[in-house]
Amino acid sequence: MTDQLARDLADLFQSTADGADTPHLALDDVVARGRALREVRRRRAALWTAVAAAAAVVAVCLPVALVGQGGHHRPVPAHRTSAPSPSIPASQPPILAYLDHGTLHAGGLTMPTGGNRILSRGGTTYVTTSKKDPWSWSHLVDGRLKPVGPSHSDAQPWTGWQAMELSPDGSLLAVVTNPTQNSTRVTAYRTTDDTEIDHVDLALPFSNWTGGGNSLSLLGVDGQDRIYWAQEPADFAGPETDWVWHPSSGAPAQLGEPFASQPYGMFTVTPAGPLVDNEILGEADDDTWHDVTRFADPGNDDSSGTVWSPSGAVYARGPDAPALISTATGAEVEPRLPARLHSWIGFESDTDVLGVVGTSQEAELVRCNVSTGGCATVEKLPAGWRSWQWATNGPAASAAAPTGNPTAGVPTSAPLVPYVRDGVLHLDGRSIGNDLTRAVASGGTVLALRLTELGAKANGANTTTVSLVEGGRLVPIPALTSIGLSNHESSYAPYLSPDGAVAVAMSWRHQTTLRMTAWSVSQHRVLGTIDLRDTMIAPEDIAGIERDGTVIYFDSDAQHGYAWLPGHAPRRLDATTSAAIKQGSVVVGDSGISVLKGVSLLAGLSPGGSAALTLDNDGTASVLDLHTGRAVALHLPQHVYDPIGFESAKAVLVSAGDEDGGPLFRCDTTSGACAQIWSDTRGIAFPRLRGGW
Amino acid sequence: MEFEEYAGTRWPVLFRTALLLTGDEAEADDLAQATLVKAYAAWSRVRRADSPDAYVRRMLMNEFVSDRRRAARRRTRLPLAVPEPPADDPSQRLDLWANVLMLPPRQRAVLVLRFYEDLTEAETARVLGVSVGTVKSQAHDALRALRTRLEEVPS
Repeated sequence: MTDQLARDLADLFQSTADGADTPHLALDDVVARGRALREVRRRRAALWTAVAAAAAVVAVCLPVALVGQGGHHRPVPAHRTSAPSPSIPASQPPILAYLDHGTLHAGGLTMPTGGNRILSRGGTTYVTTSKKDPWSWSHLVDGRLKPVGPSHSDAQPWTGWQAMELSPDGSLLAVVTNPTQNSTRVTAYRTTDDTEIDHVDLALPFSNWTGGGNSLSLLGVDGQDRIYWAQEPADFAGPETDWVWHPSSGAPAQLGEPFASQPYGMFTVTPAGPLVDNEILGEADDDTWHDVTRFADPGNDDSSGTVWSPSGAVYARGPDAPALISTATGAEVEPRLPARLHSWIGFESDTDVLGVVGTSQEAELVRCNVSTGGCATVEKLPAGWRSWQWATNGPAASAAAPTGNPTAGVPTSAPLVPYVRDGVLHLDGRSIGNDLTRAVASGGTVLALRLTELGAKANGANTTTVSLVEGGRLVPIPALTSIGLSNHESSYAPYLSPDGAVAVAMSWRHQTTLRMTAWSVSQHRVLGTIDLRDTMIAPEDIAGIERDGTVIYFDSDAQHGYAWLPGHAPRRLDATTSAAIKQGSVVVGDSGISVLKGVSLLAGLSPGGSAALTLDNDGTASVLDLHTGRAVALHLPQHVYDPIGFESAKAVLVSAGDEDGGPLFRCDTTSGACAQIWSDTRGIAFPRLRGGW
Repeated sequence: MEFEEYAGTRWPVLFRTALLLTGDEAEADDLAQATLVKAYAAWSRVRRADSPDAYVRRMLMNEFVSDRRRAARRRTRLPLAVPEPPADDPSQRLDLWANVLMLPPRQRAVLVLRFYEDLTEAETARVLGVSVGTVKSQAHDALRALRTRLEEVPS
């Protein structure tokens, strides 16, 4: 019947397609829409491009900073080679567990299982012990296989473990069973002792007997232990619905938009949250959707080869255009693979990812570091490697454990940096102004910013008013006030040089012309302006301002940066002409140190410029000594969302949580010890060295 | 190859595949055009791909299964746009087409790729960005559903 049905379908499709009249293609319209779409994407990707550009240029600039600070000149290769990074542990066997034709390899252990299935994440491993019994699951505990769940021999067909998913850290196992032929149960187990945490019963029939598809499709568990599934309506009429359930916290919740428009479970559960349409990485809290990251355009990339780090902080894209990408910032690091990538295997930790290079016949296992992009061969793979089954991911990188009391000696007084709360600037114990949006501060200079939306009648225009804070008063700077053409284009905060001497503002004068204005704080005058036509740069693209006022910026071309000394024409930077820009000045690299030090974001320099606060791709923050290259990791209980900056040479402020707010910490720059000083930063705007709101 | 040349040449193929996916000529026109718009925006990548056709086919499928607007319309609509039945056994053909249009989009996409585009399971999996196992199960479920529903239809 099926063969005949297949033939009927082929005939039906062919005759239907052949019988259709192809409409006229309005090619001009398609091209126009395509051009507009490409433009939107270019703008959206501007930050990403800037990150790559910054990486390329600061490889030149960083040694300048070291020389300028009186340190030793440390040559930094301007052009990287594919040589493996010495920091990549090439000889270390894979941390990820894998099943090689029934033999389990896990944590240095090799043992026959007799089965052919593995489920392993975060160091927790389950395998089957019989190829004939699909429910013969055992849990690998202390080097031994401990049977779990019913086996085929002692269970009815509907009572076996129909589907299983592990949480990214391996601590929770979600299992789908059918207590009866007409009901379905989702159970959450704690993997430390295989005890049940909670379960939920659903009026869904045993799928194998319905004939209409799966009653319930287990989609995955995210990093917050939320279990996602899609379920068919009882009569299989109408669309699937998508659900999320957090064990021990009530009933499952049906997901609203955008899940409701994805009625067939077309989203992926990643450690960082659900990914819809391969486009939006969001967080679903019951039926409320929160965007976390909007990707530039992965919907059309080959997302089938994407793997995620245990915490969800990084993902590896491939194999067509391999890249290691920060979920939070979109910053990309191109892995320096010794050969063409065949496929990614999975993340061993938040810092190392395994992949296979070469061909199916001649393949090598490689390990790549997400911060540096350096890769090293782990081993040559034997024939038959393609049938190996691998763990999804390893454990998250364990942050350096703080010794003793992590908060010892760290004061918990209010922040010393200027911040805006309820429109009022708080600075040195004083409350200044009203209706303010944010402050920009560096080197003792504080700028207060007011963003005014002019509304739809003004075509979405807005103004950005910039004032200098002097003696507790706001002194407007008309030269830096901008009237934008649209909400998107004009909402740029100015950029301050590290010493606070120069402010640079950007404003769009036309859709394609960006005016950059440099203003001297001490002289209260414009140093120069420059109009950049047909550019894609944004404030984030300003890499730094040297002491002589030279602005280092990047355009949308990832290969080149420019040095602009106000009053002069900009000069293109490259590795061979970089001497002209050195001048012994500190260059602030906005994410530029990332290639050299594994840093994705540079939040700011210490007073004096001898240290930098950095945020790594995995959400860990450090204080980097620019003289010695030594980094002090900050001992925080959770990932950093916003590295706010230095309060003094001795203390930095960082906030955790997300864009809506989270706890605020003060950390000692010498020991890395941190103390929480506020529980929530919601509604508070801290100063930024970087541009943007 | 320039985009305009590619689009002009491949437009009929794209439209026909889109028609089998959507079951509606206007919607197929919309889907195929939206795919070409995205192909234009990513033309440098498409052109460099080993197989631009495979790349664009994947874009078409992505667009089909992920477009929220179309998905919303699908949910409010039962099978329509039944084509002119072929001469042989028209009632059975008509029933089959109506039931194909009732399948979930991903199952329908699997059937179109397997039985119209004549792709292998592995090729289908790559186009849809899913595992081969998923393709197998989706095809199995789709065929089983069709068989069940056709058997329920009184002759």
